[in-house]
Amino acid sequence: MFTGPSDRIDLTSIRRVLVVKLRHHGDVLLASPVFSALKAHAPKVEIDALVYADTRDMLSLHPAISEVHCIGREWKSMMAGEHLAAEWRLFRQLKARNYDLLIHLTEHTRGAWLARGLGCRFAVAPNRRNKPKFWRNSFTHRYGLPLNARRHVVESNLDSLRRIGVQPALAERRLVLVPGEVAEGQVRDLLSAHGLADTPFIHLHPASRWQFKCWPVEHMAGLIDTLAARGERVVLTAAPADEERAMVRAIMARCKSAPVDLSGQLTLKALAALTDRAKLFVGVDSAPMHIAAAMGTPVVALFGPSGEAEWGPWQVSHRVVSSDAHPCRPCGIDGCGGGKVSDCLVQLPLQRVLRAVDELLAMQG
Amino acid sequence: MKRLRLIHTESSCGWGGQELRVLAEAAGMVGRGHDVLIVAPAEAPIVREAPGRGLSTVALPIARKRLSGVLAMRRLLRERPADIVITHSSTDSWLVALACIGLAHAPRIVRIRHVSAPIADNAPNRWLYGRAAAHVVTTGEALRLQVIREAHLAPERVTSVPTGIDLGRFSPGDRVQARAALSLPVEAFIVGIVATLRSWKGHRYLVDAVAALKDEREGNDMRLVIVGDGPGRDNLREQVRALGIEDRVVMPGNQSDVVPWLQTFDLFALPSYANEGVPQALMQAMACGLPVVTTPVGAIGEIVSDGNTGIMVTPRDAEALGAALARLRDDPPLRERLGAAGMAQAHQRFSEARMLDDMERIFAAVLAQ
Repeated sequence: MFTGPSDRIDLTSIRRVLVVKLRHHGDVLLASPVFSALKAHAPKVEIDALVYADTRDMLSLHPAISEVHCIGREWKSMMAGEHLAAEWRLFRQLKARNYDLLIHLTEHTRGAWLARGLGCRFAVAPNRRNKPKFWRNSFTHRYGLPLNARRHVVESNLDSLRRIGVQPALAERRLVLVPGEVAEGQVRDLLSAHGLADTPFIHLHPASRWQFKCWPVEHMAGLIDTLAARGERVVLTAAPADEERAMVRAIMARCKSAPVDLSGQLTLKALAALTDRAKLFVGVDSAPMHIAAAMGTPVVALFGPSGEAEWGPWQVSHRVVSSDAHPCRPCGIDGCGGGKVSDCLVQLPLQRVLRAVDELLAMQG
Repeated sequence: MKRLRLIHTESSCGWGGQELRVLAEAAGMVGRGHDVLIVAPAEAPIVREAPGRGLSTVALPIARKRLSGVLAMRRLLRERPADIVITHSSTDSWLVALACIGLAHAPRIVRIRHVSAPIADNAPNRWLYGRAAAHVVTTGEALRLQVIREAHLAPERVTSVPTGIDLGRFSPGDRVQARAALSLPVEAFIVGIVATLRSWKGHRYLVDAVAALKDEREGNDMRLVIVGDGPGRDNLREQVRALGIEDRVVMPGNQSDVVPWLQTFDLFALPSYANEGVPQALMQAMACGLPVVTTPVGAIGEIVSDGNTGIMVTPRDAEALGAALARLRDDPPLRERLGAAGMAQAHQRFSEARMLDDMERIFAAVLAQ
């Protein structure tokens, strides 16, 4: 039998763990299995999370997490004194928790300071060759990142556990997101108000924080009209951000049918509750796509410059629709030449997306 | 489809294609977000193999048709309710069916038949297949027709879902490099077969055919690679020796990974004359882009179309077989065309994703009943 690394950590000696993920919403959600897998292997351990405040709802109510600590994105723009005070409050709060183990899932500098400052017995971080010695030496264990292979981000996150001797089972690798009763109630009422209380619907989330990940509004409108003509009910959502709402308005203006527009009206928890009730989710590589995967709703995901091997819908029935006419994808840049427009998405035909939708709907009997 | 709670039961203690199918299907379904549990006797190899693939198992005494097995199954279904139980062998199918009688929130049962053993025409079997199971799945179309006939089932209650193959692994490689690695001649024309050495696989006709096709011209030097082992080994070696073609036949025995061998072949031959279901080896060869020469036996006609993805010859006819080999050797464009069409066919019909899609569709239909 395999025994794992010789410097694996004896989990019975660990009482409290802090997992740090300082990234955007989707990334934070893709770290959710780290908590469940660790908890499954060490049920008595208390696990906390440290994330940016705006991504808090990706992890709150997670059954394996004791406390979610937050860093405000606005701290940087505060007066120096206020900023320092906020940082000090957070540090005191974390220090008081007496962590035995810190798991840092990014190359953020803060992880190194925390590992040293909090005096954790063990600290784990990705093995980044380009980081300075100070950063690398802040950790007792560094987990390997693939050198030339493509690995799903969920697996890369879980590699932090494998490095210390925890081998997560397949079922423990599932994304976890709990919408909660409040959000579920809101969504129930909202759907009733639109006459969709018990009607199956397709959830469409066309926008992303990054416009180079989006499909042209004309195509989206065409998709909506085609689905509507077949008698499908379509619900549109978008984040409250101005650009995303503008995109939905542009789509609505081109639609001949009348989809239900809930853009800007839902919190992230409510978005999860909505997706949970949908029979199908259609969207681009964005946080709502990962949320749909977490809720177990079949996903049609349009991919352009980002790679589905790393960011594809995780553990859910899905179809990735991407161009086979662009050998340059996935390039990982913000539109062709950095021009914010991705040809591989602009030229992605409506028929391909429709076929994917049909395939997933056909599987629902 | 929303997340389902699935249980696979397997009472057989063997280790072969059937068990690999169970593991592939279970892992694939977890990959699609479903909860999957494998239930098998503690001594079954599948219980040993599943955890390494990240799958959870529960060992229950279900190797034999005993009351203790029924009760253990019933207890499990009470503690861990399932939407669907997929049964694979006769014993576990009986135990699960009996355990579900009168059970509150009983799961639907989907029975998979992997083998063509006859189904006795009696009342208990009619109940097992017709009433207890919500749907029957077979691993090939010929098996499907057999079940429909012998268990007196309506055709719409039985679906053929062939086992998917890993297309990431079974794919064409660099032939020159593959031959160099296995010390096979780079310039020869290599006919290959991957099969257990059993009489009905027709190896002896293949040896005869290759022996008759002696041609020393460059590129026409035909070699035969026989991958596999079995009861027919000694007879086959004797035949090769008697024909004096030891220098043209390579017999490497069983290989844990057949992909590098497939990648050395110019064409794949499987001249079976009986007892074939849906030969995995044939699908794997097609996925590697190889033209195939085979026979219309068992369910082979379901996967190979004569003249499009391969060439069909009469069983037990070394002369016809030899003619097909020579024709393909002398016509590279034809090889190219058959190989490409076979590979396209494999990607369309034999993929693991297609198998999972079909199974999910059946689950949805069964739950909607």
